[in-house]
Formats: sequence, structure tokens, C-alpha cells
Amino acid sequence: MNVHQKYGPQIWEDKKRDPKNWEDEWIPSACTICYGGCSIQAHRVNGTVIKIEGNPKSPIGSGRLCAKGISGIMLLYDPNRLNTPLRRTNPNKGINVDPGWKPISWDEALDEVVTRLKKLHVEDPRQLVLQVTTTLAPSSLVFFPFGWAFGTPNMWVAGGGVHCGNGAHASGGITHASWSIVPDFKHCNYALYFGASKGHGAGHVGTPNITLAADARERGMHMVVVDPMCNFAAAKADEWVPIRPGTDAAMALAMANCLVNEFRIVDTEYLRTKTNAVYLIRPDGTYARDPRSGKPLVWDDNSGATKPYDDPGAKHAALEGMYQANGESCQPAFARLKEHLKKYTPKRAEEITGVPAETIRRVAREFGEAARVGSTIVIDGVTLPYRPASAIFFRGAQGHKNSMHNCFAVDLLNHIVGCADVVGGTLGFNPVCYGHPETGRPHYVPRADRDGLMATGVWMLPHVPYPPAEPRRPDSLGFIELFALSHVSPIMASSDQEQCWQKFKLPYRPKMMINYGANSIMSVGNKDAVAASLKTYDFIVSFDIFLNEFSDFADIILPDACYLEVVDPRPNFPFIFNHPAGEGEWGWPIRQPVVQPTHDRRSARDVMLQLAYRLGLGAEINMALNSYYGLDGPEMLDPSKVYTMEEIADRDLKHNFGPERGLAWFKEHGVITWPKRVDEVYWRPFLDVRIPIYHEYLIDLVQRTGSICREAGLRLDPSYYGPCPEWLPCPSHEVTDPDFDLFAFYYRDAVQCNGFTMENPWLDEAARIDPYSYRIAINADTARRKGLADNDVVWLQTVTGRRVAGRIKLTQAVHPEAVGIAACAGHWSKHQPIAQGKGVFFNDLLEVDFEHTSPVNLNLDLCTKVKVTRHEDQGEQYTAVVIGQA
Amino acid sequence: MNMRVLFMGVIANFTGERELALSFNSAPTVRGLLDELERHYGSEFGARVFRTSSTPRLLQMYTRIFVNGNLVGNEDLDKPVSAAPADKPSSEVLVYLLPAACGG
Ligand code: SF4
Repeated sequence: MNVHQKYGPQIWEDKKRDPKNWEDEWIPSACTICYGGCSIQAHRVNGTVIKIEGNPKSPIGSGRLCAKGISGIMLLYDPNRLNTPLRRTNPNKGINVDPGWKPISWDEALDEVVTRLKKLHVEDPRQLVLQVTTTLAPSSLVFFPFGWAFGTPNMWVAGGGVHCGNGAHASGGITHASWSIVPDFKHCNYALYFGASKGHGAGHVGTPNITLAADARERGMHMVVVDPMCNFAAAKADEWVPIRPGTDAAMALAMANCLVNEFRIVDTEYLRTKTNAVYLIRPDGTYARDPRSGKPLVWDDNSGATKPYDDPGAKHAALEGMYQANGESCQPAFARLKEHLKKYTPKRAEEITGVPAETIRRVAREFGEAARVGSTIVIDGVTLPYRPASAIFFRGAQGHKNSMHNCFAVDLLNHIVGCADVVGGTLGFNPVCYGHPETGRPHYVPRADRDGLMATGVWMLPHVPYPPAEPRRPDSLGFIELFALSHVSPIMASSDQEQCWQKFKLPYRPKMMINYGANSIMSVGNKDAVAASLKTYDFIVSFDIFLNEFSDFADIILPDACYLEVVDPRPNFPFIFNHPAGEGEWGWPIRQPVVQPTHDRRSARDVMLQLAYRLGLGAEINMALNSYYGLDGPEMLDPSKVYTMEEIADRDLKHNFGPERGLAWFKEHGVITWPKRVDEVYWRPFLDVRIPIYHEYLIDLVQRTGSICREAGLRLDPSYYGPCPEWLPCPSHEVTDPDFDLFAFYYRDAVQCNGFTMENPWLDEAARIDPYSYRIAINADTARRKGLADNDVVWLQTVTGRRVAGRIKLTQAVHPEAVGIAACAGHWSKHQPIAQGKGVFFNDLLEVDFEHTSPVNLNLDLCTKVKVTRHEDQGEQYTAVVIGQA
Repeated sequence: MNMRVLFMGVIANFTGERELALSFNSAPTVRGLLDELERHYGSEFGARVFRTSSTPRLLQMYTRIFVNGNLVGNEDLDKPVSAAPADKPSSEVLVYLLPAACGG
């Protein structure tokens, strides 16, 4: 009996007849369909969830959910979910090779896993790889501590991790002390988006931003979206500026050139006091330093002499000119940057981007004027800088070989006009928190670090973007230690991983993987590269909800409880990851079981804890958890004891909010809220920290990283490490064969989250109604020129011969030189019958190798040049897509 | 003052031992203790625990120091190591290092 049959109108009659034995509860918790973690309340009647709504008491959504969030019920009760552990009987692994699954008991499964882990631990713990999915990354907190306790450095967020974050997060950390950036929707008057959809379907702060963005538009915020496609953000904007994929930096730098060299709209006070614009730069590009303290020097106009940047007497530091420092002619960093920008004329940018020069110039002027440089506003009785303009970027701009500079280039616009973390400007997501008024926790504040530049107060991972860690010869499979500005590395699944490891004489190879919900066969790049990498493992254990394409490479499958069946004390912490920015309230919700797991399903986190204890790593994992969660005092986990996830959650909550507010309190209330302070929201004027507009540290970084690479024979292109933001081409920009004339890119579909939600029948229904979700968007004029018609089946083929098929949708809403593909679709696993055969598997076009990776932050290059040809077979295998025409 | 110093996580690989007993005439500051440990284990210990770039040195983002069960931050480094709790024969300082790199 399905939910609808059971809870038809008859049940309300039954309730009236027997109200005492009737359970009717609303349980507060948190969504995890995407990483947005919006607060939900689930309506449970007699043990069955019949509805999911937003939780109006929590600022993480304020009662609203997106289409995916309300569809969670279909995940919970999906009849295709895994019910019991499985073991493969077919030793052969490969794409679509049936593993011959045989149900086994948990005891049998865990005994084998423990035996193998014990052996590995003695042999070399680095041979263990922990792979988690982007979607569940915030709730995978036990996985990384498990890895640390076990002693492996090899953990990665497969897929989205190498697509969407290496540049955006590093850049956000360096200049806004946050994981990402967003306009201050409440006060912003001019929002400029480069390849971003914040507030229009993006995952970070998903539904809260949607409300904030909608309110801002109603209030009159002008919005300009620079994007190859006019979809979720651009369709609602005042202006769509179509741009060639991967060229955002060229447009942003031309705008910066207009602002500083043509219009002279510059916030000199901000640049002087909050950036390194005044630091003197030597002819070799490095800082001129005070011989005694080693601090960067500035030129003080008042005294006509050099002074260390933080000298109280250096109030009038020069932004322009040429000065003598330590016997050399030096320029302030701003003067250098200004000169550098001159080569980015709007005309040159037009050639690179396809955006008309006059549009670039006009948008630059509008942006600069909207920033109202010099103005102030009073908020909560405090006079603050008022700069109601904001330029943001995300995956579209940063998912390229030139990832780091693309981010720096767009963000530079904010710093030129001083609209960074002030009223109306571009905000990091909550980088300052002074804690709950009763406990002072959580507490984190950015601080000045090397050369007075800002280091974040809190970060998602132990290694922070600034100051970059000393590059080291890699010990890990992904080379994160070598590339200090990276987070996640495609070398974990690349086609040239063995060559990379050999170059650095890595003394071990991966042997065993524990996977938590990632479908890396589809989520990283072309399936052949990932399959070849997976085949090298002796043993793969995978926690999952469904069998999927990745499962064909696993040896043991463990059926996970879903997000409605587990506890998590901090689904939104740290707040730099998923909490609405700007004025309002802090909110710390929890995730709690809405129902207990049925069948033989268990929470992966409980199982990982048990594994650690069974392996004799209790002290190590407890200390890893203490260190990661920051638990101390009475709530510190005793290294000699065994805990459950519920007990750990209880301690974490009490540690932050006092002994009376443990898990039981949170289960009842769902969320704790308290008001944000003005110096938390608009923190920049209150803190004595600077950020780089001139990235001098990259000069040192490329020398150190480069020398280690040189020794090993790995070629590192230093041009990506210049101290001034540049536009540099992707491999796709250098394709000269005229047959390969279109850029292919993918975008995040608002009704889907990666590949994981495509099995959800409600979302599938919505996607089938949407003419774009399962089709390739191609410019109508381009298509007609090629003799293609709406709904034709085509091949997209890359210069390396990779190809995918799909139906086309003719539209004016995509750049004439590009084709756009939604989400991570094209599942072929028979175990996901709703998802199977629908949409286009874009990632199969992507090369996964060092050549297609940013040499600064290891982001994968996500644009590729394709030839579009009519498919020889227009037939039946595309019926699922055809349904969408109805 | 008697002190038991425990090493866990990545730092135990550098020290080569998981525990060290120390005795001081009077309570050292946390920084003083860490300097002493650096002298004992070599400069690599200091480079892992501290950021070398700042003076006075700040802890690396991934360093955790627990003194008698309480986490110590940069603002506490110049305070003396607290006395042993009543039920313990000596003060206990635990040095834990998360891996500097993770995420693959
Ligand atoms: S934005 Fe993400 S977390 Fe929020 S409701 Fe939608 S799917 Fe759930």
C-alpha cells in the first residue's frame, strides 16, 4: 500500500473515531537533498511521513522549500531503495557488468570489512581511500575523522568537489573569509552575476537566498547576468549578457580597466586601509620589505618616506607613483594593477568574450555608479560604508583551467569600489560570529596573518587558503599538499594518475575504498577514466541508498539510512557554508530521525563509528572528533570510551549552547536562534584585516610548487600564477578545427541536484514538463544553419573523440556558439528505473587529466569544444525525453 | 610541576612516541612548553604546530592543544599551563594535529 492509498480522505475519518491512538506529529529537521540543508518539518501520521514542509522558525529557509525539498518523501519511500547488505558474486568489474549481487547479513559484511581494514592498517593505512559525495558532504563529518584516525590522507569529495569549488572557495576564503559570496540582498541595488545562480536555484543557502533575491528584485534591485545561457538567474534579471564560456575574466578585467583608468570610480579609502593596494612592489614583482621587521613597506605621502604598512604614522600611504625603497624603484600594488589592466581594453575583451565593447563599458559604469563610493548609512545606530553594488561568480566562471584568476578578476570589481562586506555590497557567508549571547559559542573571527593579510576564522577543511601552506612533495594520491590552494583533486580518478604517481615516486597505491553515496563514475568526468581508476582497487565498500552506476565497481554494498532517518547536530555549521548572509538571525538547526530506518538499513555514520571502535581506533577517532568539532571541557569525548552518534550530537550541542540544551532540547525545538550583530554582518570596517588585490604570494608559491614539480618532471605553467588577475584560455579556446565550433557546458538544473535526484518521480515529472531539463539547449539560428530541427537527436563529439547523444531544444536563450546541458543526467543503471535513459551525460565529454586541470587549484576544466551532428538513429531509446513534449 | 604530554594524530608520526613525561620548576606557559617540545623534537615539530610566518607565532589552523581537557587557542598561548585536576597526578597536555591536507 503506498502513502497515498493509506492516507486518503478515509484516514481523517479514522482519526475522528479514535483520536487517542492517533499519532499526528510535525518533526523539525533538515533537508539534505542538496547541501543547502534547509530547515524542514516533516508531518508524521501514525509512523508514516505524509508531508515535508519548510520550518518557519528557522532562518535557514524561513518555512520555504524548493521542489526537491518537498519531494524528499519520494526518496524515503522509494521502492527501489537498498534494503540489505549485498556482496558481489561476479569477480569481473566493469561498466554495466552485472556484479551478481547476493544479500548478506551486516555481521558478514562488517566482519569482512574489518578484516581487510586491519590488514591494510598494518601494511600501509594510506592505501585506504574515503570517497564522499558533494550532496552529503556536510553530513559526512564522521568520514574525515575516520580517515584521520586510520591514518590515511586520501579522502575526497568526488564529483562536484572538483567541478564547483576549488576556485570559488579558495578565492572566497582569501578575500571574504568565506566559502562563497553573495550580494547583500537586503540593501544591494545592482547585482552583477558571472556564471552564478545564487538565489535562483543554487544549492548554497538554497531557499533562504531564493526568498532574499525575490524580495530584492521586488524592492528594485537591478540585476545583470553574464552567462552563456539565459536560464534560472538570467531569465529573471533585468539584463542577460551572453558570453563565450570560460571568458568571464576578460570581461571583468575590461570592466576593472574602465573603472580605474577611464571613469576613475575607485574607493581609495577602502583600497588604502583594507587591501594591499598601497604595498610597494619591487621590479621583480615581490613586496619591498622593511629590513628590520620584514613587513611590506608603503610610501607615506605625509612624511615622504617608506614605512611598514602597519606603522601608525603611515596614514597617507600612496596608491600611485614611483618611489625609492631599499635602493630600488618601486610602485604601489595599485599602480601596478592599474597599468596591468590597460591591456584589457573593452575592444580586446569583445574579441575574447563576444560581448560588445560598449556593453562592457556601460555595465562597468552602471556598476561603478551604483556603488555610491563615499556614501554611508546608519544601521542599528552605527554609521557604516554604503556600497549597494555587488559582483559575484560561481561554478560557471570558475570551472575552467584559469579557475583562480577568473574568480580574482570578478571579485576585483568589488574591491575597486569598496563594496566588500559592507552594507549593500558583496558579502561572504557569515565569516564573523561572536556566538550565542549565553555561551559565546560558536566563535570565529578572521584575523590579520602573514603580511597583514586576512586569514579566515573558520574553514571547512583543516588547510586554509591564506596563508597558503608550504608546498610539500605529495604523500597523498591527490597531491593536495603540493597545490596549496586546492581542496579536491581530480588526480584521484584521472586518466594519468599512474603517471603522476610515478613521477613523484609515490611508494603505495590505493587498494581499498569506502564510498559514501558518491556516484563517481558519472560525477567526475568521462566514465572510462574513472572506471579504469576504480578497477585498480582490490576492494570497494559502498554505502548508498540505491544501486547505481558506481555500484558496478563495488564489492560490498551497505544500505544507508536516508537523511530523514539520521541525526546530525550541525547540518549548517560552519555558517560560512550554508547560512543566509546579511541582517537577520543566526539559526542552528539539527537533523533528527523523522522515522526510524526500516528493513536492514543503518546510518553510515553509526557504522563508521563502530568500525573505528572495532579496529581498536577508539582513542584516535574520539580525539579526531574532539579536534574537528572543537569539543572540550565536560563535553570532550573520553578517548577510552565508546560513543554513539546520538551521544556525540548531545555533547556537541551542549558544548555550544549550554548543558540544558542538548539533543533532547533540540529534538523538541528543532532550532535555536539569536539575533545577528551589526559588527558580525558588516564586519569589514570593524576588523583590522587586509585582503590582496595584488596576489604577491603566488610568486613565491609558484617557485616552491614549481621546483618540486620540476624535480619530478611534472610541467607547471607559471602563467596561471601571476600576481595580477589575467584571462588565460582553456584548451577548448585553442581548438582550431572549424568542425568543432560550439562550446559545450553544463548547468545546475533548479529541479535536480547533481545525478542523485533523477530517480525521484516527482522531480522527474517536473523535469519532463520543463523543455530543457532532459535536452540539449542549442541556439535556434545555429541549429537551423546546421540543418537541425527542434527535437532532433544529435551527437556531441569532442576533438578527442568522446561523444554523447541527446535531443536538442532550439532556443534563443543560449549563446550562438554554445550548447547547454542540464545537471548530471543520462543514468543507465537499471536499478534506478525512473532516472534510467533520461537526459544527457555531459560529464562523459570531459577529459580528466592534468592538462585539463587548473595548475593552481586543481579545478577541472568543464568546458569543451564539440562538433554537433545529426544522430543516425532518431529512434526509440529517446522516448523518455519525448514524453517531455506533451 | 609534573606534566604528561600526549601526541595524537599526524604529530605522533613526527615525535615517534605518543607520550612524554616532563617536570618543570614552575608552570611554563603553553608557548614555553611547545618551544621546549620543539627543542626536544626538532624544528619540524615547530613548523607543523606553528605558522612560521608570524611573530609571535600563531598555531596552525589544524593544530589542537588540549590542556587538562580544555582547548587552548592563540589567545591562551602565553598563559601558564593549568595545574593538574584533583584526580590526576600531573597536568595533561594533548597535542593533536589534523592532517594539513585532506580532501584528496
Ligand atoms: S535548496 Fe537543497 S536543502 Fe534546500 S530544500 Fe532545496 S534540496 Fe533541500
